[in-house]
Amino acid sequence: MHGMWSGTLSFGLVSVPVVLFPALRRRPVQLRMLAADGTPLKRQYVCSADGKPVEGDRLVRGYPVEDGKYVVIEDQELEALEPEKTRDINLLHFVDVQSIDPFFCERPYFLAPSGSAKAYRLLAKVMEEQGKAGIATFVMWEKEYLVAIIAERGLLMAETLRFADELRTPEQVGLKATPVADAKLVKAFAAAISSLSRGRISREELEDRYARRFKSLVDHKRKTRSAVVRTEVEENELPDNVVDLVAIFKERMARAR
Amino acid sequence: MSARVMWKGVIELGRHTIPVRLFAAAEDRTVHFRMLHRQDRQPVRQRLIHPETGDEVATEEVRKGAELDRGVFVLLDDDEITSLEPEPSRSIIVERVVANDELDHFWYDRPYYLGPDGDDKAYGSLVKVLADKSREAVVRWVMRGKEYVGSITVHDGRLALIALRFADEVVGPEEIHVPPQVAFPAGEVAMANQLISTLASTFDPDQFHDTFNEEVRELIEQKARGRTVPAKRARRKQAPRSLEKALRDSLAAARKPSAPRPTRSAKAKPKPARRKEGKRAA
Repeated sequence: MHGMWSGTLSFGLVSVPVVLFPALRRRPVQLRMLAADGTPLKRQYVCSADGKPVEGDRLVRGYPVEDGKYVVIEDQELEALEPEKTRDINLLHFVDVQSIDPFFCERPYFLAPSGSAKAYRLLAKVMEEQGKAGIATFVMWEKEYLVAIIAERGLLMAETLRFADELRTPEQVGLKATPVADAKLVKAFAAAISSLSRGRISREELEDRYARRFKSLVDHKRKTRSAVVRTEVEENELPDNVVDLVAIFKERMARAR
Repeated sequence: MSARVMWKGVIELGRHTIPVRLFAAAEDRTVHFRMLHRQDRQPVRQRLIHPETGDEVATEEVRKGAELDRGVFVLLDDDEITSLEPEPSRSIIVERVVANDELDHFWYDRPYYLGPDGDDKAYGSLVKVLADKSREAVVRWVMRGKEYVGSITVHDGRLALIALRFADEVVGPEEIHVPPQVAFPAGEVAMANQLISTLASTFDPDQFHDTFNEEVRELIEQKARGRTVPAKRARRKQAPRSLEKALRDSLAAARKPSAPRPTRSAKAKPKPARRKEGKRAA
């Protein structure tokens, strides 16, 4: 699990210190791996050569080359590649929010101001009023990201985007020229489409039906007290991803002055 | 080059059907590393252990539980988990149609192309209707044992299907309370507006390159040949300024005709030809 990314949003010579929060929740349908007595199991790294446990500080990144050999890459070597970019989202391009093709959208985050929120809120206000998104690249967790900074309801969101070379063209997947439409079918499809258009879409229409079935099974088993196990879990044994980042973000924004 | 068909399905639009083939539109170009044991440079693997005894627990002995509360689990057996799975199906069912600016960016997950699969007229007609009316079709389908919600749009004149995130996964901005807007000095608002206008351009994704990824590849190649790597450079520090002064200075700098407009592409080095990778580690 990654730590929180904090850095600076640069807008001309204005620097806005920010912290990045995921705009996605942990899926509710995730299952935990348990022992027969209900104790949550832990993951442990072991060396594939001797089967002995390997602690986190004895791990190193390797890239496979020929004959089962690896090139070892140290953290400092990755950090040294583009150090001046890592903490800086430098907004040099502002584009119409609507012009960002959803094909590029990869993963949404929220930005929270760190320290004074004055510049953050000014930037959010003018970007939202102009309908503009700021486009930049930056490095986070040893990876470079293309990002669109989008203002919504006084908040700044960071949507990471795919790089152009990560998307295939229709020709690259082997699609031929678009077939010609048929006037009769166009008319029939248009009628079907207008009968399926109604008001704005609601969240309920994007419900995860698998999650609903999952929850009702779990609720049923809880109520009938079948197969419910309790174990002592130490607070510090909880994995990082159990931490409610959404709650922390809400807290921070409520205090943003 | 043509990609492999991932899946075949049939769009169901009311009583009409449009058979399609599905192709992945996105590929991951990031360099993926294996985690190694530093001492002997051998890859490590993960195993599950009991936290108290430290003993390994074999896969067949692992039980699965849904967490109700901290440390309280409902155990689910494999039959129960299987009973939740969707019926296999080839249908891509259009549930409703929306304007193509209605869904916010954070709903979109993974893009696919749809190609015609035996009925070119129906395919071409759906492209035309969606494009002419600037609409997207919100659909549900089951692929490889998993349920999806998605949106059929037109991309480069072809049908595309973008998987959407489910509602319970997305934290919408409407959920976040932001204190009421403070009044900004009119001068600061005007300067910020002007600065954005000065930096306004059109979205041109080809302008941006993952130079970091290219440098990582270069680093790997150099190290594989036994070369040494450059030392770490220092990070720049900027002195804090007042917001008003910073805005004024930014505008002055942006307006100066002699000042070159810095762009990412100008800084980016010429792109080296992409090397083919034999293996890609997880």
